[in-house]
Amino acid sequence: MGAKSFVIDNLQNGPDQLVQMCLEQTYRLSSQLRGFAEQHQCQDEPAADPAKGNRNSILRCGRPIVQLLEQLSSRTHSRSGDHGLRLRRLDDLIEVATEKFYAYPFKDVPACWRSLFMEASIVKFCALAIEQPQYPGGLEAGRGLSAVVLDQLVSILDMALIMAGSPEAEESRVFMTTTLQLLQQIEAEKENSSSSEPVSKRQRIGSTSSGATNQFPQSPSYVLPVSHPISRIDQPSFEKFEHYMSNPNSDDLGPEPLIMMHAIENWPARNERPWNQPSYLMSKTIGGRRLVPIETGRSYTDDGWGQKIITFKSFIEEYILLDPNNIAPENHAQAPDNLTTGYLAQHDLFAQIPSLRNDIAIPDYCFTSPPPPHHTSPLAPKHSQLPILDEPILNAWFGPACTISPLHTDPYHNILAQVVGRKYVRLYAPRESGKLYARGVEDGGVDMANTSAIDIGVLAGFDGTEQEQKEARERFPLSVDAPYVDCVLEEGECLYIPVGWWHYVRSLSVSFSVSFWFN
Amino acid sequence: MQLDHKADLVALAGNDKIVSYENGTLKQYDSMQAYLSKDSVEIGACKDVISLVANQTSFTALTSNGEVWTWGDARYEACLGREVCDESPPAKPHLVEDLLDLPSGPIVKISSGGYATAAVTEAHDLYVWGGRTGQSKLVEGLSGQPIPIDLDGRDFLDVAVGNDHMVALTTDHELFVVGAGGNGQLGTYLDKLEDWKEVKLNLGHGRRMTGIYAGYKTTFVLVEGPGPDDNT
Repeated sequence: MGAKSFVIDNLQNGPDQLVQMCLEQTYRLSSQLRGFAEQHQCQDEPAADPAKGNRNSILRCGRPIVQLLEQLSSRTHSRSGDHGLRLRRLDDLIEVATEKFYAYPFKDVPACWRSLFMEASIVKFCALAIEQPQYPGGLEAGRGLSAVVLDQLVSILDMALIMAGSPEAEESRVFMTTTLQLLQQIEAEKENSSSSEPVSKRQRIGSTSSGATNQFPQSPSYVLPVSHPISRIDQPSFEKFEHYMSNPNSDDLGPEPLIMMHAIENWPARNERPWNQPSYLMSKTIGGRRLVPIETGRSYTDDGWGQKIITFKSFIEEYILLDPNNIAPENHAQAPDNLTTGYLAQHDLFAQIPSLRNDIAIPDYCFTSPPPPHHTSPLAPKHSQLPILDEPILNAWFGPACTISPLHTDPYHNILAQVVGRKYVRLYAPRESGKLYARGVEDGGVDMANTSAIDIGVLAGFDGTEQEQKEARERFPLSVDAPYVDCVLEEGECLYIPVGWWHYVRSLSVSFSVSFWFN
Repeated sequence: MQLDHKADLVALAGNDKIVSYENGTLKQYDSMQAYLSKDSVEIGACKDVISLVANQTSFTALTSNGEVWTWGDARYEACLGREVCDESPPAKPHLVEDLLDLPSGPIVKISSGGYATAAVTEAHDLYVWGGRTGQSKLVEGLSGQPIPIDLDGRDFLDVAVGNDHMVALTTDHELFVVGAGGNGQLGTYLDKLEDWKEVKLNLGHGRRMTGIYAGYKTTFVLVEGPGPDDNT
């Protein structure tokens, strides 16, 4: 079965290119797996030898699984056998891998099962792309790939990226990146070719809720009082910031939080690639088809809190534009029942969608040498043992008004950049830890030592009834007089959160922040 | 696999942990590799274990006097069928007290798979427990507390739990199935069964089912009676 026999001489359109890439990928994978199987043919339990070759870890899934994947990949390439059965078997393989994600604590899932999830997903993607009826030259709306198929194709790759992480094998990594770029192009071409239609048909996002324009809902009336304001400084130099961290006002306190203004003015996300426009974000996510993991519920310490993976478009439509805080009173009747908050929180969106990574820049401040965790932090010994990061850790935080991150500490220094909207942040120094009622190892073996049992919203009087507020003060008496600092972090500002500082974060509007952890 | 282990009983869980029962002690191995290099931790002494089974994350042992002991991953407490506290930590074998002094006598058979475990008593009652948050319940009412299964008062001879299906054999040699069937494991063409259903197999004249066994997504039945070539 030569890959050559399928070479299309003149790749005129995206869908043709896609089929070509899938044929090459499945050919390459089946040859490699066959090669591995021959080398290890005497062993039913493949030897542990991760140094050899970069696709090797998948061998540890055992011979039957490797052989099945090899056959499915090879038959996808040669288009032989029953297509439907092939898809079912690929789903079985993905299911086996998924079971392992539950059977092990997430961080302990052996690399082989991540590889299996990834490679079986890629073969499934290829099987669907190759078997898609093609319309060379493109029918007006179709251009070879229907919207439904595009949905399905994007979802397969994103599930693999979210569940299994970046592929272990170099070839698969390249395949992922180029394929997603190609799908983005195909989608953009479709959008362009349909741009002769009336605007009302195309701009679905703009017209979903209450005839809004291409903007997030505004919540101007929603404010929280700031009682112990954090100092602001206008874009300090690298040296000035380093000096600030290393020369604290009080040695018993260590470096304190600081707001830096105008530090991200030159980010494309704040200019020509505007993150405050839903249509821009949709255009960067293959028409909103990319999947994102979101947290649902008020706060991760509440009952009824959950996580799910949905399309970016659904997230925008169901949680950002339809958020209860954002619905104008005259439209309340249209709002669905049981609205819960949805929050795209602590997700490395930029590894998943590299083109969004180009809209921001790592602040220079993250490359300073910060002081070690302060000795007054009970978690300092633990945090001090963390290896020095090669690169800052990036996370996206995108949600409607009133998302809450309960009072907690992080193991790194943090620059929190506020790209869109406003957030209230309250911080307590590490030396107040004894007054903040840290949780411990809880039911189910989850270590919550970095999270406080206090609901700051209730304690501060933002939430709850007077009775509940009184109960909070009685339950957590030491916290009542614990000194803190707070701020409303405005659009375009950055907040420096020193390692070990407790922080409670609450969005006051639709908000998109990026955190940069460094040490 | 090497055969120089002198274990009486061995069980392998979905998280690669292995437990063996040797000379009256339960030894746990962290992985297949640890098992092959005999790198074990003793997790407790348990007298007269006659059966040892595992599912994705938990182990269940049955003793000759009908006691059921469980241990495993704390994240899936329901699989343990018992209280978890400082005195009875999840990772150490502990007695399932709910299965003591049952009206139909002590447990005589256990089976485990996926996130569920089932047990049959001497006088043929069937109990199940387990479940994992986010997964649809294998049988109605499945939880961390053992519940009896009632199929119009039938008595049970045997039970077998697969990864996401369960089969039960009655003393009248009827086979009941429930759960996922997408790979044919229910013996019918149904993709999924939310409730128990009897499956009639064409066994031939004079033959009957006397035992059942479930694999990952497979089911086996033991049949008694005249052989296939026997035309009587």
